[in-house]
Amino acid sequence: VRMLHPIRVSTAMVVMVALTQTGLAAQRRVAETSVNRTTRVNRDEHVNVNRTTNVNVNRDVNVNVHRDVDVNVDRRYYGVGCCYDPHPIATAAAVTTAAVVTAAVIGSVVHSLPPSCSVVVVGGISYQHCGATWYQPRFAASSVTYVVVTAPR
Amino acid sequence: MARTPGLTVALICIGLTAPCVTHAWQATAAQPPKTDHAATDALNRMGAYLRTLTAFQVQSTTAREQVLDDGQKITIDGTVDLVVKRPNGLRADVITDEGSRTFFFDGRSFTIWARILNYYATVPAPATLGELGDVLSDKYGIELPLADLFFWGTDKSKAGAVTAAADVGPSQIGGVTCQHYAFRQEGLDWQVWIQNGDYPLPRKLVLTTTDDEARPEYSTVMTWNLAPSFNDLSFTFSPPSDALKIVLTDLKPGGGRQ
Repeated sequence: VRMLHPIRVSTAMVVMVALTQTGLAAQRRVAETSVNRTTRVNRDEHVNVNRTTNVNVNRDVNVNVHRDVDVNVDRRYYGVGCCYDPHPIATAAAVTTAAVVTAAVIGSVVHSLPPSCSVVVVGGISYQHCGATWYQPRFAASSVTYVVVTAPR
Repeated sequence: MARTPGLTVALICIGLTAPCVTHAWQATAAQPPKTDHAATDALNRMGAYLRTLTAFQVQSTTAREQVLDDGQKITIDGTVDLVVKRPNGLRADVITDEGSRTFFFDGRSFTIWARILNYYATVPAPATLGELGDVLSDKYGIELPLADLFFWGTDKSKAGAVTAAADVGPSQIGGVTCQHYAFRQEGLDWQVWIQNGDYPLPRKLVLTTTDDEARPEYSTVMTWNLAPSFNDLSFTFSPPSDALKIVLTDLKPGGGRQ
């Protein structure tokens, strides 16, 4: 399994936090789902982990970065069956995210891909090649996020 | 199920007005921690019974509230289909409006598969379900669906965290007669409906997160099958030919268990 260089990972974390704080990622709090988990270890630590990961817990494909976006927009996706729903609102959201990340800084994290990506598998790991930018899709907890990486070799 | 007079008062209040309910809880809080032993005993009995099950299937509906920045709550509905073979088999299909995830565990590895995106990740796993929950939670930030089913009745159960327990009374869940219990612990109020009789299974669970001012809730109603059909292949992921393997982010790179 190819892993990102640690420095890139930490950059990704920083960017993720920055995106969150500027409200680009929908910052959603969620209900606890386990009676026994909440107090299992250090509660505060767990809450932080929970909320960090849950910032990204949104619909597959397109993150509702604006909370006034119609919730139903994303649901259309499930009838489509692939990776990108060219719905105007969804596209606008994705473009906004990409623009702020500014020319795809290595290590930055986005929650959806621009259009016209192709899959390239290197060393058994899948990448998305979109224009000049390479993204590595990853599971962050149960969510799929895309980390901008250098071209895999 | 004997009830204390105090609880009877509280129950009457619930049928009346909100201020009365508030008053009842305040009265409870002002007294020493109020624990109805019938409730804690029922919880222990349920946990012990769950531990005796060697295989089971739970099909459940779930509703989880998300709180937006402005405090508005949005409910995300979903379903969970969970098949468990102790000590080392699990398959869970989780479908919500946010996406679809299937989890596989066969005693050797753990796989998460996003069916719609068709991404999957496989990581080495501990040998037993009991250990799996810790690794997933601590190392990957993944919580198994209906995770409490794996904790109750084990040393990982936090029964000691309960600060108040009440036997609310009988209730019908999906046509099954249950007893309804309510518990409080730090940051969380929760309720469980336990099937009456020789099969004390949890039929419904409601969690209210109380350390968030919006008090988001999670609730699930469970249907049980104690004789599920499966084979060993059920627990091992066979990727579709077009599935893409990706990385599962390690929250503690360089540390923790593998």
